[in-house]
Amino acid sequence: MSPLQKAAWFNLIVLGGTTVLYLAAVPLLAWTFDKPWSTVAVPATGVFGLCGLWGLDSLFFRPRRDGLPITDERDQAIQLRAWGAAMGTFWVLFVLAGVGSWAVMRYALHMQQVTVPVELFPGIVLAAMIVIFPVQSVVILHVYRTGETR
Amino acid sequence: MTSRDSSQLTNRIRRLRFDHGEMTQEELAKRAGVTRQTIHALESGKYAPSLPLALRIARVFNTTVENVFQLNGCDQGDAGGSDNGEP
Repeated sequence: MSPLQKAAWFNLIVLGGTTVLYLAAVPLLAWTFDKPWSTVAVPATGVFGLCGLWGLDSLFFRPRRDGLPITDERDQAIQLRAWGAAMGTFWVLFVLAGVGSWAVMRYALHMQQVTVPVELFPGIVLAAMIVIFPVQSVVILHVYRTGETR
Repeated sequence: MTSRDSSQLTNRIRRLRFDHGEMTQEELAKRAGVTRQTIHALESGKYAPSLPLALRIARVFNTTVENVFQLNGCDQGDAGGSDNGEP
């Protein structure tokens, strides 16, 4: 298994574990503070800070003792393809969310002016990470599995 | 390289390895500066190498790139397509 595959699996495991923690945190916080689930759902997203563990995937790219390269041009091609797919996916979702929310508010709810909380902006960054890293990981694993990298 | 181009690319790496003292994929990878998985992907026809890698592999076998890689379905003079700069 190449370091890229190991890193991809690691990223998916971190996201999976964090999602499970989030799903457990919502009812736990609701029960602890006696609040409705909808109220604690947003603060509970703090557990996604554990996704910072993704930074540890660089440990898979330590130099080999036998002198062989850790990654080569094929790995870089796979990574580039995965990055393109991940960015493309995020871009589509970003445009749909941006234009879609505007269309709903403007034409369905007839809202001319609305305000958004400033927390929306770091939320976009978090959403980008939560979309880009897993999609990139899935594409990496898919391409290595099928083997078609030409 | 597009997939249409690379689908016609074949190679004799496996044959050349055995002709050169049954060289292992690991040894060829080390000498060409890539991972063993890439050599395996090349031999399986699942990866089309860059020109520098093709040259390095040919150099390992002390031969020409054309002797290692072949572009099937194209005449040698037609391999460059219509972008060969000729009128």
